[in-house]
Amino acid sequence: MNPQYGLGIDVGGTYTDVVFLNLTSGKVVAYVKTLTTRPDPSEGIWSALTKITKELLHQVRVVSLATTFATNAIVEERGGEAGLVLIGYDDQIPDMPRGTHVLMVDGGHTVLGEEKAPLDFKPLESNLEAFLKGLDAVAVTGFFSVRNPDHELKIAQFIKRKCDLPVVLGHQLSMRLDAIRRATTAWWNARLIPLIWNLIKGTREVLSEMGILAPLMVVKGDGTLMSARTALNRPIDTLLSGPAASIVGAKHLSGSENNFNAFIVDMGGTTTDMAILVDGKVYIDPEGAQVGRWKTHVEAAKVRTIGLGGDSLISVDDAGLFLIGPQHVMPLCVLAERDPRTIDILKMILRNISKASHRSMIPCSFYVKAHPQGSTGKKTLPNYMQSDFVSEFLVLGDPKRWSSVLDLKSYEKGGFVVRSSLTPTDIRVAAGQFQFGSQEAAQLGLSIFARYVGMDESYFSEAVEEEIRRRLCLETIAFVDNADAEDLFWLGRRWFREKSFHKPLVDLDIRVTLTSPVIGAGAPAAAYLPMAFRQLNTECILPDAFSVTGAVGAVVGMVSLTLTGEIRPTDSRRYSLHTPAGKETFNTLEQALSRGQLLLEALAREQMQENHVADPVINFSIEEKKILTHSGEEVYLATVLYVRATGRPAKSGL
Amino acid sequence: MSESIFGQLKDAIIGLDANKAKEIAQKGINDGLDPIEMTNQSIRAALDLMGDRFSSGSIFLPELMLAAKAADAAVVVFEPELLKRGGNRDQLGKVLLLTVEGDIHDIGKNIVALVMKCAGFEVIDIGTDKKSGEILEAAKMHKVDVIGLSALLTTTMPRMREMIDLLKESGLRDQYRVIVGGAPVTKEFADMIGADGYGTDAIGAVEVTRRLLGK
Repeated sequence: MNPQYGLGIDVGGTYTDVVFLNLTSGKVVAYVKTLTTRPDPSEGIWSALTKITKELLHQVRVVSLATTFATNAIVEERGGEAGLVLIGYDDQIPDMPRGTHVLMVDGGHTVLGEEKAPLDFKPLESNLEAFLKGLDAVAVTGFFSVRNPDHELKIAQFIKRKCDLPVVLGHQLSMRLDAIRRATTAWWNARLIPLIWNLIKGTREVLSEMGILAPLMVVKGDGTLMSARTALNRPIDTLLSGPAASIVGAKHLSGSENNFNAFIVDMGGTTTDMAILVDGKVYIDPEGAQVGRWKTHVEAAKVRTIGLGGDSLISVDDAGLFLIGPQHVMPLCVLAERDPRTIDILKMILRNISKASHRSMIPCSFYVKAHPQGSTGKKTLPNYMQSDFVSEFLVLGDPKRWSSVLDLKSYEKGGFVVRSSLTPTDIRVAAGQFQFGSQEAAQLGLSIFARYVGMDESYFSEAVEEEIRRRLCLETIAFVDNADAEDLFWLGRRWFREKSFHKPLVDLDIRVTLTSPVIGAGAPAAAYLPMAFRQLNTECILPDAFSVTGAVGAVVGMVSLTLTGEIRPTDSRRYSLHTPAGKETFNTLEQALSRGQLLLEALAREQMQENHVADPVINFSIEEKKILTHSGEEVYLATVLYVRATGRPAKSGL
Repeated sequence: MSESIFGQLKDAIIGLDANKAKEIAQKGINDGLDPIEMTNQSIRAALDLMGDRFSSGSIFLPELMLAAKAADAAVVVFEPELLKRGGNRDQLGKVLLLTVEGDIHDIGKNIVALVMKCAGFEVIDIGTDKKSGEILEAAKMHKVDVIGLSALLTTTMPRMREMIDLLKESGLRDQYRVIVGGAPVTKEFADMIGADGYGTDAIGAVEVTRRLLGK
């Protein structure tokens, strides 16, 4: 049998990784790392694919994409315009930005799926035109729609008769309770639809240009896959898909057993993501994914993301302590390669720098135009940006221009200007541990910074690395032990900061031990993780190809879905069945059960087909909720029905 | 003198004599005794004792109820005094108590209400046969910390789960602690429906409420 090949793509904040993997043996055949391009990430995907031979690309049977686009969009509060129709809600609604089109209508259901109030179309009939004006999509959610979706379906039908906009229904995204979170989830899903259309369209164009005709899959936040077609309707499910893919990939690459527990640390250019593998599975946040201030119902990995990566900005606070991140910048070694003037200016700064007088400046920091050849859009940059290259040291050397740095920061926020400065990556490049860009620029940046803080260069480098390791350990303690363990966190903070520098002869010592091994991932992982986690008395496994675990996880992932239904006793001693297909009532429990199984299995099969799985494995199980009273009487509360379907996506007809 | 008033009040409650309890309570107030101290030293002590006796089976429900009534008679005397001091009364927290829809049993709930009042909680008792929507309205209106659900029938126990589901669906589950109780209710049931606490009896209900509120 010929081996099957898959292509995994991971579009991260800094890098886009592409992996070509033999699906039969599970081995990585080739991988490429390129810079992520903005605003159109498909350019970066294209440039990565050009580095893989055409011959290999033609053998690809499935392509899978992990992307941080949804997470980033929500963090930055950016997306299409979406309106929200709320059925039967009272004063409690999600806290949306002012100007959001919201329409409240009477209706909704009770906990048992009975009508709480009749559905009132009047507000829709009289306001629909104004409501739809300027929208890209509409979200509709009803109170207790997970117990009876009837009103959501009717409103959707009404809206679809009047316009062609995508309409998102709350009960189709999640069967969990909490009408506020359901509305938030549906509304953000609607806002993400225009963004994912562009992403999928761009990716498909690149793939077809490369002669790849395999089905395109997208990684979900729980590490499983969905087809691009499904993703177009459910973009919110890609929340945290990057970290989730990384967990799946790290596990695959470490070749660990199925019941394996591990702590996964994925250190990228911009951020470090921490997650947990329990019994070989991605640990899912039981509350539903939270991104920024938004609490959703999305099933996603429980991830702690910290602003610490290879390309984090190194700065010094008022107390003289090093800060790494949370901002990420272009490393000096990359800037110098892009613009050779960097070296001369760095040399000039080194000649003039003395020990710092004001800490707010970073002497080896630059601002450059985001698109060197292209335009900056409608926004005009200040005069001194005409040279498209500004040194913070030179600007701050002239007090009249200090305020300009503030301007620059706002241009940077708008994406017109990119900041470049000394990063942990530069320190490794300077030391010759890593070949990347200009070593000379990295070395000059290091010398400038060390002189600026009045330290010996090697001591300075060590102090930066020590700070990174300290942060990794502290964040691990905070994540594994929950935010509740503040005491331990503060104790750890003191311990890591003080004990590492001052070692009295007689002292107390504490040992904190992480009970699971760490699987490291991401480009800078080898430089920091093994030494950092020695301080938590655990080993750090660095699998082959650890720098591209996300792309590996994307392509080795499975399609997997769990559909749930519930049977409840009614007041009139009958049984009501609640599934995504709606509410039905039966005289006996057996009738309700067999109908429920039939409905859920059919729905699962249909959804698996939409996700390119022709022969899914389908498991049906039930959980009876009943208890005995003190007097031995049985009280029946409910039966929960679960249908779990799994399978591997494949090109049909092959 | 005051020593003996504490003792007398406790004895009056244990002796199930509401009139005497009221009389001694009034005497205590007239003598300038602290009603909170009297509540803690006499009433709670008496009810703890009766609760223990009830738990161990040496007295039965009617006696416990009479003791509770006697305690209530004393509390009624203290109430104006306590209200005058303001604030003190609701320092421990506000509790909404009721019996769920389809259930008109109120004996157990009333005892819990009394014991909770004596323990220093502010209690809002909205009665029996309460629909989940009404319960939520009352909880919001009175800004309670704890919702106490009582059910005496196995057929009305599912209403407790529905109440918790309504709080979840309303996005308010984190706002309230929910405790459940009643003759057929077990710890296992409380855990299964996702309640925060469960008390086997009135004293247990007070203990679990205290623990939930971190008092």
